[in-house]
Amino acid sequence: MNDATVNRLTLFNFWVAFGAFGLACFFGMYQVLERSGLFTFLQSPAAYFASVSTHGVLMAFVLTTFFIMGFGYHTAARSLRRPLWNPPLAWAGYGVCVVGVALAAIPLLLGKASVLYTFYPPIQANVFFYLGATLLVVGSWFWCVIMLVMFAQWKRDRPGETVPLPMFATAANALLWLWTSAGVALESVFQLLPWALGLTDTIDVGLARTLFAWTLHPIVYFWLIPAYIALYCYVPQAAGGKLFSDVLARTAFVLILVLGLPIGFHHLYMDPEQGAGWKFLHMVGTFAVAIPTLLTGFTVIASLEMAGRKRGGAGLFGWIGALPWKNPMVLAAILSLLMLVLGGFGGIVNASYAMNAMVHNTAWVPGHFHLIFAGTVITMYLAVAYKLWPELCGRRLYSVDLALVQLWGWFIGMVIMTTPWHILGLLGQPRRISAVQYNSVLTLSWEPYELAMIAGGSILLASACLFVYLLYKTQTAGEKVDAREDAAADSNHGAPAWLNGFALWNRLILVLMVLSYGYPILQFFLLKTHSPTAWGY
Amino acid sequence: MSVEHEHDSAHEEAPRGTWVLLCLVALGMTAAWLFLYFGVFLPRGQLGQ
Repeated sequence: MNDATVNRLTLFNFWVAFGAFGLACFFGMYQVLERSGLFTFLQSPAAYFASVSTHGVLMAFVLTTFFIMGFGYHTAARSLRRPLWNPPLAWAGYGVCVVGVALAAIPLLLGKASVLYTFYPPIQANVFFYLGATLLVVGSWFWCVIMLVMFAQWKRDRPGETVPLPMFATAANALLWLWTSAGVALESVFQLLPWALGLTDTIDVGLARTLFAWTLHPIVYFWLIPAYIALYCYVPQAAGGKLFSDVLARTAFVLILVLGLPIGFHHLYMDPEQGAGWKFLHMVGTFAVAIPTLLTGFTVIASLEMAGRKRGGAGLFGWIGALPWKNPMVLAAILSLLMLVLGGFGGIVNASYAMNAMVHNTAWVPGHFHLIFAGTVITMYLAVAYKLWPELCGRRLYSVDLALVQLWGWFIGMVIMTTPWHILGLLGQPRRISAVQYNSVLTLSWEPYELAMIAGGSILLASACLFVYLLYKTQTAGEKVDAREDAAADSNHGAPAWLNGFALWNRLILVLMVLSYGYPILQFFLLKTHSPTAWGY
Repeated sequence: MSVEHEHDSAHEEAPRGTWVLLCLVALGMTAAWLFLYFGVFLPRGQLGQ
């Protein structure tokens, strides 16, 4: 019975996630057409900014949160091999999140919350948008509690045993999200909501941006960790091998958790409210996060190499050709890692304090962001869906061939769309503008790139539609099978105690967060900047 | 040789290809970063000039 509950809960979360994904792709297509300036009848700054805000919220908050919750419930129940703790609480969290999305959707679609997904003040949205976003975060905290309780209960019941890797990583993500979301929750409750309700006339923009920076970078790791779980726990098996090193995988998750949190100021390099020293400190932390990324790249590729060699691949790179490229999970991993390399390079440029000035607020930034998020992360979400849908629905995947076409389409479309975006950024095209044609020689030179982006966007939209179609057909017309599989739960390899719990790491995070955000936030109160205090007092 | 044994021997082998691949990626990234810094960023000069 609990098995059915977990499946239903996972499926309900996944459908919201992928419904949002499909819808957001239509908005994205409109944006790339409108922004090009090549279709004058589409031009409308009001519609553009409503669209780009909705697109961002659907992709970055709705798709991710619901996918992560659904995947987490499934991972916890399967890898720990025990019933889900407190299903009513899980459904309550789901309900709170759905209500939040509905509340935020109304002003978004009416053009009353065209504040982009970062909703930086002083641009103000309708209060229902902030309320909805807050409820989405609060609902996700229910999930965090359930994951951490299940993690703790399993450890209590099996003293001395190693928590399965998928659950270890899921618990790390729940902990990371509690830390991460605190920044935006503080901003929302103490600044945005009272301001939008008219209880305060002014808002401290510097403080708001600082609190959002607290959330803005580690939220990327909240999105990324489920993709890494798939890379570590599903891909080696799908390739016909096993994970190269359980300890390296756990180390990578711990490092992401600890190093990924106190580094948000690289989003504020050009902001005046924080000093250069603090920004430099956060830059050092940002570069340190490259370590778990490299560890992940090494461990996953080494796992693939071992699998490829087992399948007969010889020589230095012969194992690559020997991999089962027609397995959606393996193909997705290869494409995802390729985009991680390309997007990772863009991230290194962004993080470089001096060079950031060259690309800051240019088209380079959404190019980078799309490669990492829509490329690396979403590609693995798609692969997870292809793997889990048969189990959740008891039906075989409708068409593996179409799934492969869809994944290739997503990769090709993403490369075609984001490469011109990066080039346009270097050419000086600003981001977050609704039109790029100013009838100057400079902007006319942007047109070929805009055309390429339209081509890339079209392929991406087609790929997204195919994905949703495949899920729908699998659920409604797939051949009925008993497709239950375990979530690669065989990683109880006796990891050291420091890689089997989070007590030590949680304390370390507290110290690092106080060091990196303590004074930068306190300064607003010490310097008595404009209305920094809660609710205007 | 059993499948299990074959599996283990493949797994115990050093992942040479992975090391070389990652070294190539690191070299490529470093070269691209240096090109952007010295070839694109610095030639643009200081702000306001």
